[in-house]
Amino acid sequence: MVYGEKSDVFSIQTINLTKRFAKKKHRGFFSFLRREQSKKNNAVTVALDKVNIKIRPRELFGLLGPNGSGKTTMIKCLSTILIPDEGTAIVNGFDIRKETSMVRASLGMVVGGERTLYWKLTARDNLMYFSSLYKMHKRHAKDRIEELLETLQLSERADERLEDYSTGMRQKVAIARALLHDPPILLLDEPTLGLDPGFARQIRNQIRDLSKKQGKTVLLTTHYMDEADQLCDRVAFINNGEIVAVDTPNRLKAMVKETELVEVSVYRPPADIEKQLRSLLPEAEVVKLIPGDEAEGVPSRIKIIGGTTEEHVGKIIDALRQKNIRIGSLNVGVPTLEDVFIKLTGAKLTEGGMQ
Amino acid sequence: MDNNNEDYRLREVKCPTGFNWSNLKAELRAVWAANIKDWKIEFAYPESFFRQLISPLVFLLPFLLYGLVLVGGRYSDDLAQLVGTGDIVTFIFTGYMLMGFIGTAVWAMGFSIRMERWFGTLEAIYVTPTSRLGQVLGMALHSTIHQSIGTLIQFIVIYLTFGLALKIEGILPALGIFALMMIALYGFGIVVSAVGLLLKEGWMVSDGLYSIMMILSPVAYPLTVLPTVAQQISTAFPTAPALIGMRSFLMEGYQPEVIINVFLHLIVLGAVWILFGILVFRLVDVYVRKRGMLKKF
Repeated sequence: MVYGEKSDVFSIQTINLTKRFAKKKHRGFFSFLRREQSKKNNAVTVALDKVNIKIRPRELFGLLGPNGSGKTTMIKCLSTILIPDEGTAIVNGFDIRKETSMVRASLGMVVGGERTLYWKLTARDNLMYFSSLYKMHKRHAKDRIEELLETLQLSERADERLEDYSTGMRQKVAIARALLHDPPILLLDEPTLGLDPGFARQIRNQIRDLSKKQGKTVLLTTHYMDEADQLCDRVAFINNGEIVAVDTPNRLKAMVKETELVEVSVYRPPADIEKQLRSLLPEAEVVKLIPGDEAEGVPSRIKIIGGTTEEHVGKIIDALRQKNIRIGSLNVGVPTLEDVFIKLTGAKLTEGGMQ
Repeated sequence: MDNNNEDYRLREVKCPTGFNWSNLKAELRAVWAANIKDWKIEFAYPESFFRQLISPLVFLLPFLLYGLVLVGGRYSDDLAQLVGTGDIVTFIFTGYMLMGFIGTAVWAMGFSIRMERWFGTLEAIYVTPTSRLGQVLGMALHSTIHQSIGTLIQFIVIYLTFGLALKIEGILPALGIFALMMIALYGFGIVVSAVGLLLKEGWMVSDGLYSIMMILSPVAYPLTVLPTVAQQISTAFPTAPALIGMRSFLMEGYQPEVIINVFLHLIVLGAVWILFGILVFRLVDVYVRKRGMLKKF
C-alpha cells in the first residue's frame, strides 16, 4: 500500500524502502569457537520494512515514532548516508541509488543533539567551509552566509568559536548550514533534541517559516508529539520499521474519540497496575502505564483508551484508592497524537525506546 | 516514475556535477577549503602547532648522531662504496627529509576520515555533493604544506650546523622526483584512508604500514643491506626509487641516465597507486554505507 494523496509531483517518494541491520552481540574474544552462539549472533533487525511514502512539494511532513523505530534510518537512506537493501526513493526527482550527487545537492540535513560542526571554528568559518562542499562560489557563499546569520540572529557572535556557543545556538548554525545552498528539501532529524524550551520554540518557528514562507519541503522526524502536532501538515507513524498510519494530525487524532480517553497521573504505581486495570476495564482497548520521573517531579501516567469514559472514571479512582496510590490528576478527552500512536501500536512515543 | 519531472527539479538544484571543468573547479575548491579548515583547526591549538614544526628536527638529530658515531666521523668509504657518497650527514638528511612525507600518506591521509568521525562531522560531509576523497586530499595537502615547512626548518638548521654537500644542478630534477613520489604516496594514502573508513582502530594499520614503509625505504641505510626479497618489495612503494633518484641528483649532480629509470618507475607507481586507491576507497565507501558503519567511532 502506498500512503499519501495523489499528485503529479512528489518531493520525496519511497518505494518499498527496506533496510536491515545484522545484530552483532559481543560475547567475548573466543565466541567464534562456540558455534551455536555464533548462529544466534546472526540475527537481523529490520529497521525499515517496505516503506512507501509520498511527500508533496512544500509539505511539512512529520515522521513520528519512538527511539529505534526507523526514523533516523529513513533519513539516512534518503540522504544517501545509508544504502537500502531493497527498494529505493526518489528525492527531488533523483534516485537515491543512482543519482547520489544530485540527491545530496537537493537536500539540507539537520541532526539534533550531536556534534556535527567544528567546535574549534567560528560559525562563519564553519559555514564558509561547508559552502565549498556544496560547490558554491565564494562571493555568493559570503552573501548567503551573511543573510542566514542575520535571519537566524547569529550575526553578533558569528566570529566566535562554536565551543563558546550554547547547544541551541549551535543548532541554529546547523540549520544555517543546511540552508546554505538553498535546497528545495530539508531533512530534519530530531532538530529540537536536547534544546531548552526557548530555543526549541525558536527552532520550531524557523521550521514553520521554511515550509510556509520559503516553500521548502520538510521531512521532520521527532518523538515529540506536540512538535509534530503543531508543525506538520501530515504525520506518518512509524513503528518497528513499518509505517502504521499517515494523515493530518487532526484526522489522526479523530481516531481516538474524546469520550473514550482517560489519562490519570499517579505517583509510585505498582508494576502490575496495567494488568489490574485491564481486568477491571475489559472494554478498554488500551491500558498503558507511562513511567514518569518522580525525582524530577514528573508523575507516571496511565492512559486508558476505548470503552465509555463515564463508566471508567469511577472504577479507576476506586481501584487506585484501594491500592493507596496517590492520584495527581485525572483528565478525560482531548486526545493527542501519542494517544493515537498508543491505540495503533500499543507502544509509547516517549524517550527510552520501545516500551 | 510519476515524479521524474525535469522542469521541476532543474529549477530547484544549482550544483555542478559530472565530468566538466566547472565541477572539477568546484571539487578543487573543496580540497583547498578542507586544507584551510585543517589549518584553522590546527591554529586553535598553538602549542601543538609549534611542537609539530619543531619535532621533525628533534627526531632527526639522534639519527645524525648515531650515524656520525657509527661511521666514526663525517665521511665513510664503506658508505661511498654502497651508495656513491660517503657523507653520512647528507645521506641521512636526504633520507629523513622524505620520512615526514611518508607520514603524510600513512598518518595524515589515513587519519583524515578518523578525525572527521572524531569531530562528529563525517556524516555532515557525506550529505554534501562533493567527492569524499576531497576530505582526504585536503588533509594530504595540509600535511604536505606542513611537512614542507618542517623540512625547510630542518634544512636551514642542519645546513647551518653541519653543512650539507648538495649539488645545486640536481635540485630541479630532485624536485621533479619528489612531485612524482608525492602523487604515488597520495594514491597509497587513499588506500590507507579507506582502511580508516572501514576499521574503528585503523590507526593500528597506519602504525604497521608506517613501520613497513620505513624498513623498505632507504632513509638511514642503503637498500642493499636489506634481503633481496625486501628489496624487490620496496620497488612497489614510491619512497625507495624516489630516495635513490633524489640522492643521485642532490649528491652527485645532474644524471640523465637516472632520469628515465626513476621517472618512469614513479610515473607507473603513481598511476597504479592512484587508480588502486580510488577503487579501494569506492568499494569501502559503498560497503560502509551498506552496513551503516559511517558513524562507528
